[in-house]
Formats: sequence, structure tokens, C-alpha cells
Amino acid sequence: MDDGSGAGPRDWISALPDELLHVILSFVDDARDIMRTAVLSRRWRHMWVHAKNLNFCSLNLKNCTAPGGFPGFVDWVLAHRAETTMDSLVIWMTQKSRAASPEQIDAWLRYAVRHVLKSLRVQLVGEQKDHKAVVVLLPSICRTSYISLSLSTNMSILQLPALATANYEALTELYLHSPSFSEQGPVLGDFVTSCCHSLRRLSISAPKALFQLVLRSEELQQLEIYWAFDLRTLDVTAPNLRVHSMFVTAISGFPARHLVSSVASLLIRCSRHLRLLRLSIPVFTPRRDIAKCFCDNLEDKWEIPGKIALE
Amino acid sequence: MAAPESGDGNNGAARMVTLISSDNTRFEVEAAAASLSQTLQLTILDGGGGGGDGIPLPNVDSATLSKVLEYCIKHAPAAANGGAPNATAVDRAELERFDNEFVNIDQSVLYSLIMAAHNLEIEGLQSLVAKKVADMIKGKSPMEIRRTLGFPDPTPEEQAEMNAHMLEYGWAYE
Repeated sequence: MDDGSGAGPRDWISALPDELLHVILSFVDDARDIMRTAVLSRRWRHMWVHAKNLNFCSLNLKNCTAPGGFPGFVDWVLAHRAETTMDSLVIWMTQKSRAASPEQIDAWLRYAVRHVLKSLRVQLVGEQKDHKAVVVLLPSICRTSYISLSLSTNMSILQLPALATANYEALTELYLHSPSFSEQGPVLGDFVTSCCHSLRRLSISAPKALFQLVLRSEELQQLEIYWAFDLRTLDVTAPNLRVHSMFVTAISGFPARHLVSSVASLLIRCSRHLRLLRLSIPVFTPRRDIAKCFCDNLEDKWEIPGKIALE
Repeated sequence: MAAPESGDGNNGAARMVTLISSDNTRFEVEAAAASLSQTLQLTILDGGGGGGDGIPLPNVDSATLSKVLEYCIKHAPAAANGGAPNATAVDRAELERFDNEFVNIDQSVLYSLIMAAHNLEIEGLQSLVAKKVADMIKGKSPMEIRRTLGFPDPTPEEQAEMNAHMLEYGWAYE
């Protein structure tokens, strides 16, 4: 391995232990580049099936001629991977890529939450040809600690797993971008309260059909809610929410009157940890008469004016 | 070599340790720098490496060790700050410039470095070299990778296997 002169062998990369080859592959990242190493030599032939990080980005695979296009490529790689765990998986679809079928998406998610231990990021965009709603089912058992799910597909509905069987104890961070919540099955607040006991950070942006969010969480430290147009009730009990961690707001430039425009009640029980609560609420809210904010350390005396910031 | 206010509060002067390469060269270095190595850190915490003792590193030759220590000395202040929340953008840019320059070296040295980083468990250095090698693989055709990384020519048998594979999964190699 070491000839003492400091100079490595000519075919030095083949002299590296598997462990180091995997460290290198984890920086190669792109799934197709990783898969292509199969033809480097006999030793590399099956190296890629154990890769710890895989990044599928439809932008990098614009003219993917794999059978089934980009989604077909993802299917193929996942099917040929060894039955080993991995650290991170990214499936990033853009507008131009061929849309994945609901069955494909379900299969990817089922595979991912069983095999990915650290980080799972999935973005699904693109329109379904028949304009039918696609139901994306969150699987019951999850071993992943970080999940970011971006469902910008028109009409994609996020269905949460049945509370009795769901196990999301490993999950510490959950990011949901433009999820449409299903009328059937459990609601988000109940799912987080009963199944995600280790969740420390929850971020929801542009949810559709999220009418109320009632949360009870011991571990939750950060909660962010953006563009929650449908939200009527926000009721959070989280003793460990941290300073500066709760935002119900719009990003700058977005017209404030579209933001949580009809929150009827807001309850936040969060003890002394929470020092700042920022709410951007329209000045001319149509339902201003019933808009009230209750917050334990504010003694129920706050009504929502145009904008409040509590120190 | 007096370094004020560094080390573990040992009255001003930084604690020094001695490392001995496989070819018996002795390197004296601040404990804080050597502790970037997880393996050395344990020995150093136990009080090893000081005085005339020295820590023998039978797997690392002097040329490699001096290069490894160059990296450790440069990165020790930032590591001591625990990811350096107070590091300025200038400091970070300087470290990045150093890193880029540092791995702009012959492949045989890359090999010795990544092996040493692996054995000594210096994660930052291992990642730095791995990233450099990954850049030689990214976006390249298998032929280019084999040429760049100096793979030996395949045996006719291997070549036949590869051709069959590429024929079957041609879409992956376009």
C-alpha cells in the first residue's frame, strides 16, 4: 500500500480501500456520473450500487434517453441499488422533465424512507397530462431524520399515514413546500403530535387546504409557516420553541393582504422561550372583528392589528 | 514559535507534541494542530507525545507528514473556534484559497494524503482530497476518467464485459 517513497502506485485509485472510494463517490453526487463508474474496471462494476449519496436532478439529465425518461432512470437506479442504507437521496424534478406517475412517486418515497438515514429531498413539479389529482402517500415507517418535500405539481395531494401505525421517531426536521392536504386521513397537527416525537423543526410553506394546525410537541424548537392562505386556526403548544423561531409571515415583496388573511384564532402556548413572534396580517382584514391572538405570556390581551411584534 | 493564548490554557505557551514519521523524522507541532487528527487527539488528551517521547506514525512517511501538518497548522485556528462563527469572510476566503492550492498537486501525493488523512482520521483533509478526485470523475466519460486517473488498460475479457454493459445501458453513457 505504501512503498515508502511517498509516491503512490500508478493505478493509485484502485489501491484505495472501498471505504475511501465511497467517500469519493459521495462527492461525485450526481447519480448518472456515479452509475457510469460501473465500466471503469471490474472492481468498480458494483461499487456504485452501494453509493451513500445519490442526487437525481432532471436538469443534469435533460436529454435522458433512459427508458421512461428521467423518472424511468430513477426507477432503474433504485431497483439496481444494493439493499443497503444510504445517507442522502435527492430527487429533483423540474418543469421540463417528464412527470412521474403516482405509482412511481409512491415507490420512490417508500424506498427512500426505508433506506435513507440522513437526508431526503424530493421536489416534484410538472403537470399531469390528464389533470387528475395525484395523491402522494407518506409511508408509515420512516427511518430518515431530515425530509424536505416539495410538491409543486398541480393537484398533488399529500396524504398522511394512519396514526396508529405510523412511526416517524427518527424524524427531526420536516420541510413541506406547497403541500395540498387531503380531506381524508389524519390532519398534519395530529400527525406531528402523535407520530413525530423527535421533530425539532417544522417548516410549511404555501400549504393548500391547511385550515387548522393544532400542535402539541415537546421537542419542537423551530416552527415556520409561510403563505398559509387557508389557515384559520393556529394552536401550538410547544414548551421548547426557541427565540426568533416562529414566523407566520410573507417574504418581502409578496402582497401582505394575501397572507393568512383570515386567521380567526391564533393560540400559541410556548412559555418564556419564545421572545419574538412576528405576524404579518393585513391591515384591512375582512374578518378583523374576530381576529384574536392568544399567547400565554401575553395574557390574552392581544388583538391582531396590522402587524405585531412581541418582545 | 511562542503562540500567545492558544492551547488549553497552559500558561500562555502552546503545548507542543512530537510526531515521528515512518522514516524516523521528528516533527514538533502544536497539540492543537495535531488534534485535528481524531486518532492523535486521543493520544494527546492522554498526555502522550510530549517531552522526548513522540508519537510514532508507522504508516506515514516524512514527505506526507509534512504536507499533512501544513494542512493541520493552517486549519487549527478555525477548528479551535468550533466551525468559527466569528471567522470573517476574509478568513474563510483565505482558507478556501489555501485548500484549492493545497490539492493542486501530483496524483501520487493525493494518494498518500488521502491514505494518511484516512489513517489519522482527519476528516477535513480526507474530504478535501476526495472532493478533488470527485472533480476528476464528474461529468466525464468513462474513457476520460480512466485516462485522467491512470487506470491500467483493461484485459480483453474486461473490455468485452464493459462493451456489453455499455451496449445494454447505452443511455447512461451518451
